[in-house]
Amino acid sequence: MIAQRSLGRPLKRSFGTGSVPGRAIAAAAKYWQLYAMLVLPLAFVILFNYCVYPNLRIAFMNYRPAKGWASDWVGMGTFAKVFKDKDFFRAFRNTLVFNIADIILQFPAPIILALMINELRAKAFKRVSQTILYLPHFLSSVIVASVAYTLFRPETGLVNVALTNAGFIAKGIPFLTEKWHWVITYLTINIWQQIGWGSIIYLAAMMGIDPTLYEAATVDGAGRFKRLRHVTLPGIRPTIVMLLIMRMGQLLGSGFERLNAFGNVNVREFQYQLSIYVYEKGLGPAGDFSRSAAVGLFQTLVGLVMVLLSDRAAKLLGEDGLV
Amino acid sequence: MKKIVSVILAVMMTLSLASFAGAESASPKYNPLDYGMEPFAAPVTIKIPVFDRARDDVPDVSSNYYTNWVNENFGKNLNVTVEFVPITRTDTMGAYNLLLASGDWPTVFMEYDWPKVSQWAADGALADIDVDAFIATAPTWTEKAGDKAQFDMFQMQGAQKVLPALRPYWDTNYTYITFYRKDWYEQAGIELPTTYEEYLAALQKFMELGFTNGKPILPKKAFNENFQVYAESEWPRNEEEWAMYSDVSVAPLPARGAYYLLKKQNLEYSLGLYSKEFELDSEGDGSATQAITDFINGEAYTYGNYLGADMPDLTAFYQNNPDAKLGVIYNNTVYDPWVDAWGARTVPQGRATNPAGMFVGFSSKASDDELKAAWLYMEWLAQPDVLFYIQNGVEGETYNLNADGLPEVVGGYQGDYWMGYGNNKDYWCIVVEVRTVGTIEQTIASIAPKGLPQDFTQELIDNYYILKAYANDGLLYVDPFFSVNIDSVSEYAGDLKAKFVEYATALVKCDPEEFDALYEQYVQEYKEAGYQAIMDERLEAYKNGLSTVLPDIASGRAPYEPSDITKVVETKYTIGQ
Amino acid sequence: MTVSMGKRAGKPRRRMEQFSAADAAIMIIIVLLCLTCVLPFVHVIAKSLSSSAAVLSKRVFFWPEGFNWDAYTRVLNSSLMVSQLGFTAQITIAQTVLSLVVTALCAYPLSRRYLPGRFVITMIIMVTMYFSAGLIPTYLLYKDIGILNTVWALVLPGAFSAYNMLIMRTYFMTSIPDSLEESAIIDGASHFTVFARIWLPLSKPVFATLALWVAVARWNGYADAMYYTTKRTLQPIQYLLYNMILSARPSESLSGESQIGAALSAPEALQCAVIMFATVPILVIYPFLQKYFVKGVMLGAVKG
Repeated sequence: MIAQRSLGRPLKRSFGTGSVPGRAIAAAAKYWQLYAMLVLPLAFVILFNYCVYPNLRIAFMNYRPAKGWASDWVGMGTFAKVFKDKDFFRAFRNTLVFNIADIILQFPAPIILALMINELRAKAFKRVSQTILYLPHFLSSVIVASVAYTLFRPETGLVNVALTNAGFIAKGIPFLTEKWHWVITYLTINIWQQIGWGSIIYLAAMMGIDPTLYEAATVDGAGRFKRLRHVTLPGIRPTIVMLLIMRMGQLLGSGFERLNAFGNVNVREFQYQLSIYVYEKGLGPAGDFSRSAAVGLFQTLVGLVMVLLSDRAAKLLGEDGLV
Repeated sequence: MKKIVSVILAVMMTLSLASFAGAESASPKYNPLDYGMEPFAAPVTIKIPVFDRARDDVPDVSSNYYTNWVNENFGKNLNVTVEFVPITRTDTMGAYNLLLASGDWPTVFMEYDWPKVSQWAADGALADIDVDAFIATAPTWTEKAGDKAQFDMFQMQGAQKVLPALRPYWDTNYTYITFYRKDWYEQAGIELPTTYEEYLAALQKFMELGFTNGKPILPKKAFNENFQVYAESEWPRNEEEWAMYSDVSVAPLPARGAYYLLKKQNLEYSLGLYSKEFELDSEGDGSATQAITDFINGEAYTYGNYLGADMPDLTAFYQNNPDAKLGVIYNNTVYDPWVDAWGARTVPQGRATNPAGMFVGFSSKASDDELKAAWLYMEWLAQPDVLFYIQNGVEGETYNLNADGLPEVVGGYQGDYWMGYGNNKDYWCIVVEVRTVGTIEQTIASIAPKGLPQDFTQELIDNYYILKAYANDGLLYVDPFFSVNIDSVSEYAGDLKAKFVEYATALVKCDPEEFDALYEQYVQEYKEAGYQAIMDERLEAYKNGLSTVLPDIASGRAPYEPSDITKVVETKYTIGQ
Repeated sequence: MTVSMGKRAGKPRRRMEQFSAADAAIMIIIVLLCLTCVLPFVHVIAKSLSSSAAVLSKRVFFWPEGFNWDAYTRVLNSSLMVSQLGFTAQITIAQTVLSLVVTALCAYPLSRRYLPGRFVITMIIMVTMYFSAGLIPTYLLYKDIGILNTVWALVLPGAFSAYNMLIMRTYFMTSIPDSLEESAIIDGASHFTVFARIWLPLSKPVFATLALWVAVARWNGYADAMYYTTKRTLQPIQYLLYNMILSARPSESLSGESQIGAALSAPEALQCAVIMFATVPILVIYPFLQKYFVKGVMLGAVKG
């Protein structure tokens, strides 16, 4: 989908004439080496992606591991069950709300950071701080969650111990063990983890802004904030829109590893999202393969629709879009 | 040349050893041919599940000295390969589901929990067992486990799907012991409490005196779905409620006993006796809970665990607290003054363990030869010599004989004959659940913790007899066994498990004022999430006569009349946990 | 959208301005942000090097108390920990190498504008980016092809990603002039030769980037091990860590079972040491390779 524009239309360059099969044979003969190179990658794609699709039929069965593919067909029965399932709605609600909150809170953060970094002049400071700020992106969710618990446990966590010792609070704040606190902590840590990495792309876009625009603005007497508003922000606008569209496409996405690592029993009300649902109902103690597969399918379909809608919206706004 | 010499030497050595062994009639026999078993014509492979408990202090469960020993002795002589398939202990069903899904079925299926085997049977994973053929092939195993009548009791879904392995002394649960800090009473100068109020007052006093260094005094563990409310239930038991609620795989949140138990824990939590983060304190792989750490550091009041000659936690505890004195909380599972305070019941009652050890079933996909080989494997392991070896290992290495000629475990051994978890328990559990030596007194003596400043043997034996007396009075009993699969349990248990943990934690941590309202709300949600269906289905099965019933003695006798021994015990030791 | 990598050259406006309060504020904010990235790890390191007593009495902040290496010694003495560290390194290397091979084999032909059918093939591959079948169907596939509960379930599926392929293809198309190929073909070189002799040597940056991405993802991932394996020997280090520290497992005292023995206590110091073990490899390679990370993000931003 993305590829269309850059493809150009070079297909006919070498083959102006001849029938379709004739052209195909000629192409195969001329480029067999290139096609041969594609065999292994295509085998991967077919095996690990296309061969999976037929298994989606499980969503229309009542699958039991011991019976395998001989399990009973139930048609839309599984979906009926899913849409009556309170857990599903809880997971759906949480996934949606978290993604919206994430877009509102997390999406602008790297832009603001990039704008700040862009204003820095001390080169060494800039380089070192960037190195440090990119680091969290490379830490696994398990490590981040483990460290977060080390810091935020109500009784033994560093932050609570420090605050209690200093006399600011009488008892520990349940950063990760009370559901509302958890939401804020979780989203904040997410921002913290991605802010540096997310800023790279905006910084690159800023570097692409024509310096003469700044000079002109300065000559016109524009101060720092005016330059920021009238030169920098417009300069990175296409990047922002593009990333926003891509983000909207994942409105029902929910990363399993992170949620799972941060989860605990006190916060299931909010932590319980679709990826957790799919895992727990499917491979977890519930062992209901069909229900899990049905929800997975639902998630994918919604994701697909969201991508197409965002793309259309972007085009209406006069941007490039994805497709 | 050298080779030939060494071969000759080896042969001579073997011969001389063999003749020596022949002369020595008492020498142990591990060769299945000695027991009249016949080798298979074609090679057979059987897959035996073994629990993987994710521990670092045991050898690899599927390949170690003893698994090799099994193959060297049993396997080679019978043309059988025995593969051990690791099963994650904390997610048994998940592990079996993975095996089932991947087509890599084990030959043997075994589980302690009836609902799980019942589900396997309902899914068609288990073969119908030809009992007569089994008994003919494995008479020793059968004799150990009981007899055909005993097997009949565990029929389900119209057939013999599983065989019950032996669990000696099952009615008392005597292997689980709770210890408490006896020395704190002496230091604080207070008597052992006789009521719940006194007990709470004592705990608060200990905390005030700084015995716990400001830590919460009671080591509360995170919840799981195994939530027993026998002790908190009314007496005499309402048999219908018992049939509806009693199931290890689903917690009975709506039961009245659950209400009492959670309310009690809520009070204890609000008094600051539990850690504020107890729900985070689950046992990860290879690491103990904070609660255990606190106890080891001398900062917690109780410590409960299964008995063993080598109890590293207790060893560590005495290292840190050389002057401390522990006591055994008698009949901890059955007597709790708290419940009296709520008027819930007036007798000590509790849950016995299962009347059988492992429920052993066989894959419906196994060939005749594989089935036979699995049966022979069980028969071979049940032979006294073989069982002794796999339970005790090698004399002078993993055990020594004591004055009575009974084996005593060498603690902390990790040499060439390093044994698996609990003296190789996960291998011999297919025959018998508990390692016994001689009488019950001798058995308890052998598993009483050794090498500590205190010797608990007598107290542990007392504890057994107290429990035994309760059992005789019908106060210790088990969950109903249903002869049909309760489909709603298979369907909802997984969902309900997570919900229960969530709700129970919230209930314990909530403001005591809000407890009742919150409890009502959660019960409602819990029922809607599937528990109502489970209650209905279980009740119906019970009414249709498809389940076991309470022991007559329990339902027929009210109010409870304690027998002499329990009277003595109750006046002598009354201490809650 | 296109991001061109302009040079930093010429921002003359800056010379004229004084260091202002705004500059100071920005610097302070950034310093604080950096501290949030560094201090937690200083704390974890301090705890891992402190005595259990100091950790338990909550005296450790950013400097070890009762300095000792016990926690690290215990981790190193744990055969499981050491073997799974090695295992994780092995699957990381295997997947990275495989991934580069497969991705390059795919990206190169698809970067040749003249190749007939290239549009269709690209589409076939890109569909997989937007339509994933989900966990359970995937699980069943692995079961059917027999890689469930084997090391292959951790190595093979992650080896090819459409997204990485697009990045490499973009690089092949935009950063290496096609004229190089044309002259080589005129000289009679085969496509293999052109790919191996001209494109590969010129593509080090994109290889480095993708290698790092794949390697970091593999090193950090644990969900697939959770989904598709049950064997202890197949647990990557992160999953081990997850099980040790985070997983809310029920305790072992399940119904109907008699047990013997108990686990030794694992104070927090030990957990911190384990966290460091899983983090250090990333910390060590990260500063050296940062520039490649950045380059990869740029390539990713350059659309198709």
